[in-house]
Amino acid sequence: MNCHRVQKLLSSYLDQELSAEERREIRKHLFACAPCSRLCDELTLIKDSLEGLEPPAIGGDFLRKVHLYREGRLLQETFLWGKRLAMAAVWILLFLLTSFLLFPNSSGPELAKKEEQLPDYGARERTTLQQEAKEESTRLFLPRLPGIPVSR
Amino acid sequence: MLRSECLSLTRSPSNRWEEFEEQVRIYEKPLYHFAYRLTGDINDAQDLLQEAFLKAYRSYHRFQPGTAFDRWMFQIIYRLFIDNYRKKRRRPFISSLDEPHPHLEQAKTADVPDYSNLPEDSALRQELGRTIQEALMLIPENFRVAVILCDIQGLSYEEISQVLGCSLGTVRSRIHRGRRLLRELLQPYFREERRRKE
Ligand SMILES: [Zn+2]
Repeated sequence: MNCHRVQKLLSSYLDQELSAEERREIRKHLFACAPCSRLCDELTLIKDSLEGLEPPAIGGDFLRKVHLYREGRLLQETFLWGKRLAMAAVWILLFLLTSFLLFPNSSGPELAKKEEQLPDYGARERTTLQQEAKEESTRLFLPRLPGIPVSR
Repeated sequence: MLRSECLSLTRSPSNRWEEFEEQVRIYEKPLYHFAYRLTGDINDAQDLLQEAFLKAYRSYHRFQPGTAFDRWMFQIIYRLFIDNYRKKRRRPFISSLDEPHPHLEQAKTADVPDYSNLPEDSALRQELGRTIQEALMLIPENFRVAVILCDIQGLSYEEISQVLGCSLGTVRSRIHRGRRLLRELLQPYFREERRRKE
């Protein structure tokens, strides 16, 4: 392997992304070639420096936009249900209004008819009481004598 | 129909939300780190991640349970970054090793920290972090993302090729070119460091 080829493969060599055979050849070349060996050291330093970088401290809520989106969706759904309910109420109202306008007096005479059809339970009771009162008054004028049956 | 697809269809909305929250809790730190190294700015990184989580939540029904959530998120974050955030970049990239890079040349005059063996001192580590971040921001995004996924997130070339949707050969080349550009940009520091050690 020549210098050009080795230098092209150095990063892959450091990342252990080469075959065992390629690794062996590069190792052999680096042992004998100072410029390539120096480049290898410098690239190693770059790699190590990047690996050693510390992550920034976590600050703020990363889900802030997701929360806002979810709240928006929830609000939208609530609004949608409110809208549906309002529409249903309007339809029911329209239906009632239409039926009232189409049959404006339908409820008046029918109620009167029903009242007529109702039986007068009081009438029967009234005649019974009148009859009993009559019987009582008749009984009061007849003396109760022993041995004589009371006849009507 | 795949088993995973069946699973995703049977997830109820509340389960889905709990699952999503759990995944976010597990991976938010590396994802935030990824977003930060990509944008180079804390506020941009937070904004990018919030946006990415929203996008992920809205298409979470398409996420297959059992697959890697972080790999999926890397994809979403990078695509969003390419679409929205790179327009905000203030400095031009260097795409060739011959181009001058005045930004880092200026910083070179500052006190050179000792970081060859990854410094213990937190102030020095922070200084090193800032310097590397500045260099990262000067290389093209497709090199930067490959290097970040490889060295900071520890993904294999195969995984990187899946996240970025490109061939293994492309990944290999982008990582190598990215590292060589970083080496050029950071060489003044390393040279100074070597001189001090000798
Ligand atoms: Zn050589």
